Parts: sequence; C-alpha cells; structure tokens
Amino acid sequence: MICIRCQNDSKARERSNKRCPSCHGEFAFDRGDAFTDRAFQSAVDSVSAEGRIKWGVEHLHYELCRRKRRRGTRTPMLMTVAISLACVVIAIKAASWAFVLLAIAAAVAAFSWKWMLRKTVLVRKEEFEAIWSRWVSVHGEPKGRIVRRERPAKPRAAEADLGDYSFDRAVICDRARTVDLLLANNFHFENNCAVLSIAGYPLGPFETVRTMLKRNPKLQVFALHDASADGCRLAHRLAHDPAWFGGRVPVTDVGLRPAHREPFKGLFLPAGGGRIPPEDGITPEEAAWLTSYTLELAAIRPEQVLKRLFRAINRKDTEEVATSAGADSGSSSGDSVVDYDSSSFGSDASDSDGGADSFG
Amino acid sequence: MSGICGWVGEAEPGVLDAMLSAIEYRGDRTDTAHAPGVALGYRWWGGRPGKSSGIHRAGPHLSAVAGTFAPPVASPAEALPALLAAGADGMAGLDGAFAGAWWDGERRRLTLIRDPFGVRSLYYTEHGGVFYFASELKQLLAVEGLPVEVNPVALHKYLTFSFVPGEDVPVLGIRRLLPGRVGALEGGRLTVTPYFSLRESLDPRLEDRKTAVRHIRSRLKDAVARRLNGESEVGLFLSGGIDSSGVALWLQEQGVQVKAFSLDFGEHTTEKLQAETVARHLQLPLTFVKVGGEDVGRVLRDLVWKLDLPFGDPVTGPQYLLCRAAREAGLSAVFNGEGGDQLFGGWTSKPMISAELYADLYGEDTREETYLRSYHRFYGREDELYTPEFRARVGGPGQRRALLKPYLESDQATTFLNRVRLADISLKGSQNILPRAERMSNAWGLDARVPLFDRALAEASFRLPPQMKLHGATEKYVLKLVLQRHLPREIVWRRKYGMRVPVTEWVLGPLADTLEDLLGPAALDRRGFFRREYVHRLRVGRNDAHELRRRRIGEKLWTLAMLEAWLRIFIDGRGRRPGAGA
Repeated sequence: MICIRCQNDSKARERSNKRCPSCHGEFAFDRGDAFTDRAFQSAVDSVSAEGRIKWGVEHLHYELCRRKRRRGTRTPMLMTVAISLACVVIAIKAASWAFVLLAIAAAVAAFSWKWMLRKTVLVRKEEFEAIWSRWVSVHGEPKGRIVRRERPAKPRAAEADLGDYSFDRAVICDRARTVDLLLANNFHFENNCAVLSIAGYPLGPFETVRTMLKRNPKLQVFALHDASADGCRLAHRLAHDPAWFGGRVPVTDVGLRPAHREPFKGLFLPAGGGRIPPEDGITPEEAAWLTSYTLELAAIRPEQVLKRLFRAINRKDTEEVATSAGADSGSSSGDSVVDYDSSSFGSDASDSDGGADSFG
Repeated sequence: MSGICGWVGEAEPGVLDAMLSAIEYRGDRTDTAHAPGVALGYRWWGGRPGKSSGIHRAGPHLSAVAGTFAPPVASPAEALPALLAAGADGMAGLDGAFAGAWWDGERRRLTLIRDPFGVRSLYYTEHGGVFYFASELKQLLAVEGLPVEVNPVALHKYLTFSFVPGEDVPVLGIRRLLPGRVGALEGGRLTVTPYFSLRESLDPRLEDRKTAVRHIRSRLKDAVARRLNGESEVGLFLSGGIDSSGVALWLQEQGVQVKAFSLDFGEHTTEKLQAETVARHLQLPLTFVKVGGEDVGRVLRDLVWKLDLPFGDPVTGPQYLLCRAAREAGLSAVFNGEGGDQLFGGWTSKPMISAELYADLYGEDTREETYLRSYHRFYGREDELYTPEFRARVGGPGQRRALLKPYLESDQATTFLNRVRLADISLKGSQNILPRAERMSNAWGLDARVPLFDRALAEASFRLPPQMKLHGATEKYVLKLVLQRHLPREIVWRRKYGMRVPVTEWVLGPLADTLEDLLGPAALDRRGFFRREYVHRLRVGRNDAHELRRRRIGEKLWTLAMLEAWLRIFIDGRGRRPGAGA
C-alpha cells in the first residue's frame, strides 16, 4: 500500500499500527477496507478537478461510488471464459448439443460478470460517513470542500444601490447544496446569473435577488434539479407561480429528468413516496420511473455540472440570436412558458466550450 | 503622433538625438532645445493641425507638448506654461490627449503633465544624477549606460491584469506619471499631484429621463466636436456596437466625412452584420479588414515594439492591422468608441454586483479579489504558473489589491456601481485601453481620437443616477436612450456580444510555431519565470478546470507570449527596433 505522504510502497507485515514504515505517517485505511488512502485521495482529486473546483461531500460520496467495484473479480470471469471454450471444443469433438448449450451458458455468465465489473455500486450513506470521518481524522479536511460561513468576520457595508439592478439570467435549484456548488465556484459572477433555491436559500440576499429578477423582462430562467418528483415539477412551478415568474418569462428546464438516467445506473435511490401522478410537467413515462426512483444531481462531478449548465446558457443565447434574426424559436413542450433542454446534461453532448468529458 | 523627451542635469547632448531617434515613426520633424542643465526634444508630423510646430521658447522658458488639447489650440506648447502657472484654475478644464513638459528657467523647475485619462504616456527615471523623461519607454532605454533590468513586481501585475497598472513599469528604476497628474521637479525632488479626479455628485434633476438624455446628448456631441482639428475627413473604427455607432453619428452631424473600418475574422466574426447595418443606415463607406492568425504572426515583433509596454489583450494585433488599413486609405486621424463601457456601466458592472450580493457566504474573496479575477489571467494560479525562483521575486501580498482599494472602497462615490466605474476608468480605461489605442494608431502615423473619454462627459456621467447607466439588466441605458431615434432598434437594444478575437484558434493553429519559439520548453527554461507543465497544458488546448470558456486558453497563452516577446525586445534588446541590429 502506498503512503500518500512519502509515496513509500509497503506490505501489510511492514506496517504497525496502520503507520507507514518510512515516514511513520498514519494510514486512514488498511487492508480489508473498501478503499486505500491513495484511491481516496484520487477520488478527492477527481471531484475537485485537482483543487480547482469547490465541491461538497455529497459529490465525494458519488465519486467513491463510481470507484467502488466488486473486488476479487477477474478470476471467476476468466474461469467461465475457459469453461465456455472447453465446452465448444468438446461439443465439436463429441457433436453434442448439451455441450453447445453449456458453452452458451458459460459465455453469458462471463459477459454478465464483465458487465458487473463496470457497474458503479452505491456506497451506503452510513458507510460513506464512516469513511469520510476516518479520512478527516487522519489527513484533515481536504482543500476545496464547500463550507458555509456562519457569520463573516467583518461584514461588508451594505451598498444601498445593489438591489436597484437586475441579472441577465437566473438559475433556480431544488436544493440549497446545488446553490452552494454554483456560488462557491463563482458561476454567478462568470455568467451574471442569480442563483437561488426554490425554498429561499441563501436566506440573506434571497428576497433582494428575487425582487431584482423582476426588473428584467428578458430574463433567462433555468431550473436545475435532481431527477425526483419535486425536481421535475420545479420548472412548471417557477413558470406559473406568481411569487416567482407567473408566466412573465419562459423557464428552461435543464435537468435532471428521468431521460438523463442512462449513465448513472447503480446510483439511483429509491423514491420512497407514493405513486407520482403525470402532471405539472411530468409525463406518464417519467411518472412511472419517478414513482420508483430518484437520481441526485450530485451524482455528476462538479466540474461537469458547471460546464453543462454553462452549455445550456450558451444554447439559450444562441437561440435568442437566431430568433432575433428571424429563425424558429426552438423546442416546445406544449407548455408555452417551459422549455425542456434535454441535451445539455445529456451523455451525448458534443464538444464545446462546456466540455464533453464524461460525467463520471 | 508626436513625442517628447528631455532631461534635467548634466548629460551628453547626443543622448537627446538617440531618444528622438527611438521614436522615428512618431513624426518626420524634430526640434531640440538646450539651456544650462536642461534639454528638451520634440518629434512630430508636419502639416497636422492642432499640433505644436516646435518647442516653444520664451526667454528662460521652454515647453513642448506631444498631442493635442480638446478643444484644440494652435500651439499646445505655447499655451501650456500659462495653464500650469495658473495652478488649479488653469487646469480646471484641461482636456485632450497630451503629455507636456515646461522648463521654467527662472525657478529652475521642470513641470510634467499627462492628459486626464492617459491617452498619452510619460515616463521618467534618474541615472547618474540626471533626471530623464520621455513619451515612450524605449526612449529612456536609449540612454547609454542606463541599467536595464526586469522588474518582477510589475510583471506580476501584468500577469494578473494583462497590462501593467500603476506607476511601476517592467524595467527597474523607471516610473511613469499617472494620468491626470502633474509632476514638478525642483531641487532634484519630484512632487506628483493630481489635477483631475472623478467624484460622484448625483444630480436629482437627472432622474428625469428626458433631462438626462438632453444633458448627456449635448455633452456627447461636444466631446466629438472638441476632438476635431479642422479635418474634413476622418477614419472611424466601427464595431457595430452603440458606442462607435454613436461616434459615427455625431461626426456626421459635424459635417465631417467618415470612412469606417471594421474587423473581419472570417467564420469567427461576431458583429459583422451589425457593423454593416450601421454603415448602411448612416451611409458610411465601410471597409472590412480581414485578420487571421498568420497576419498577426507576420507583424508580431513590430507590434510588440510599438506597443512599448507589454499588453496581453489579443485585440492589439487586429488594431494594428486596422490602423494600417486606415493609413493606407490616406487618413491621419481615427476615432473610436472606446470608453462607453467604462463611463456608462458596461462589462464589469453586472458581474461585480452579482458577486457583491452573494459576498461572504463562503468566506473567500474580498471585493478587490473578485475584481482581479474578472481579468481572467493568472490571479490565483500563481503557484501553478510561476517557478519558485520567480515567485520569490514578485513581492509580498496585497500589492495588486492596493491598486484597487482607492476606487472600489472610494469615498468619492456613494454607490457601488460608481465605485466599480471609478476602477474601470482608472485601470482598464486609462492604463490599458487608451495607451494601447494611442500606440497602435501612432504605429501608423495616425492620431487616435477617443471622444468618449472626455472630461466634461465623464463628469456628467458621475452626476447621473446609477440607474440611468445600468437600468435593470440594460447596460449603458442613457446612451441607448440618446441613440434610439437615430440608429436601428436592433442595434441599440440588442444584447452585447463584444468583439471576440479568435485567439484560441490562432495560438493553437497558425501561431503554434510562434508559440513554440516564445513559450516552448527551451524558451521557458531560458527565461526561468514559468513552469513548463502549466504552459504545456494550455498549449495542447487544455483549459483550467474552473474556466468555462474556451477563449481563456488563447487569452492566457497570448498574455504569456506577448510578455516573452516584450522581454526579448525591451530587456534583452534594450528596446531597439527588432532587426535593426545593435
């Protein structure tokens, strides 16, 4: 096992008290644990884009899910492949259909095993919390984790005119943690963008910002949410609720919706509620899936959330330019104030400024 | 056009010729004047109205002015001593694009002055007991024996802003007079004082939209009229935005023939259609200047040499080629629409407001730090870019924030928007946009006219309620109201795209060999300032993970490439013209 402090590679018998024989630094994890220190560090590096992106523990949780594979695994798969080949040889020599069927069965088993090897596996919340707490106690808090400040050391003097202006666009989220992700990574600053949660976060500037939004009749609004029943109703609610936009400006739903679920198999959570009715922007097919599952936005790496949201904004800008030049105004959902952008967070999105890296 | 230089002390008379020779492209005529312990030099183009036709001599007094006043006078050099002698009253309305020097032989005092917004530059240094001053840095580097050593602190600022802000320049020991300042050298001591600064003075009468429009319209027209020196035909750089379109309109109202020039980046052009619409509407002859990466590569060394200081905005190459086209069209003066954003609330206003509203949630950036990030260069990335050796030479923390504090925390404004305006005008406007525009024009013997950076207009803009600048999310609101009856609606009220130089496509494509020469591993190792890994990552087209826009790759690489090109010419080559030999 490699020590992340001094890079020394040691065997279990060389370590005592989970300490590196070279630098005597403590390991967070040891043989038999789900992760090594190096694997955990690598997950932190990925989720933080090597320290350049701010992230939350929920993102690290999903990152570890992507890394956790079924262990000890290649031997059974190789054995089934060997059995399959042996059966083919015997079948040819003995001209026996029984061996042909056996060969097919072995091949199916091998491919199934291979598929399972690739599959992500959900690390249970309690398991993750134990791993996280162990890591922090040994190595300290990794850099870049988003931590809300309870009270600023020296609050800035309020600028009286700030509320008199507006924004070009707003991103409204179903979760405060998504708001944290966008704000901590300066998405609002880079895109002249208000960022709020539907439930009123962040509390301090919430009402000021929401009032400011009403000052731009050409405001672009984006709904960003989990693929959950509440999340999928978000755009509809924003578009129609008078406390929000009440039909004044269109709202673009960028996801996640059940249509985005394909790359995230293994990371779905049970929905836990009753039957979801197909209404308020939810189609019957979506309702069927949402009745059983949810998919959290946190399953996507922070860097990709930022880039794909940026891509959605770019798409909207391009559409506006095309519309002002006389082109068709784009997609329609049957709801005149809600657009559904299914491609910006789609797995097949093309290369652009938003980047086309994999979600995971 | 034109430049001055001189010294106070005992120096070799031949030095003056060397200083004037260093700026041959600034004029076809020279004049020099000597008095005991002082010398003055002036270079200018003959036959251009509004310029002094030599150094003014009046008994023990000598004066020279590079550039013009607004409104123009027959001889700025002759007018300058009386204005300076009158003190604050004399300078109260002083405006234009000028840098001047007055030697008062009776008091043995040298007075230097720069225009309010910094169109013209003025540098100074002391060497061997002699005080030297000049319009361009390369003139001072022509002083024999002057040590030429790089100033890492100034480079550190350049790498944040993409230009060098403040009094320091990237050569140790050389400083510059800031815009709107007057410097008096007496008894070997230089005292610098401001004669112009902007302060907010909100006028409640201007809350009335019609009154505000009338007020600003008259000042806009005056600003343009004040910058005409009797020319019957001038050039205009037309972007298709409202600022340059407005200047076109007001020039036409003055009865001047306007030839418009616009950039064509081929498939990457963003505002060509808009420029054509404006030209058609105003019946302006419009020439598109095609600019590709290869074109910029061919002129790169001359571009860097004529810029005089490192400028990392990729717009300088296209500007250079635009100016060449205007010169080839037989023009001697070109107008532009620079300044509209700084005065009336474009670009940084909305991002800064957004950041301020959400400030302190996670306990990171101060207002100054946020502003520094808005330049999108290397602020916060120093550990990745700088070698440890270079890092150790760039000075302590807080020096870049200190440049911003006087504006972003200013008590000369009561509103946040106007504090950001002060920072934009004083830094990006006065120390980047204006000097580089002037140098690109001068590179081709053109006089740069920037009417929106007008003193009376700027003061009027600080009397406006901020909501007349940023109205909801509409930037430059009052300017749009002024122009809405005169220009097509789709020009006035459209969302701004901005002129985007396709620099990423250039540096990763046609300029890749140039980049290899300037930023390849061998070049980086030789200079020792930057880490190979970081620069390599950019050169293979990998953006910093936190950057959302691909153009940042090109902007960063261009900033580094221009710096290396500048270091080769100005530090290694002492500012001599590239290819001119030792």
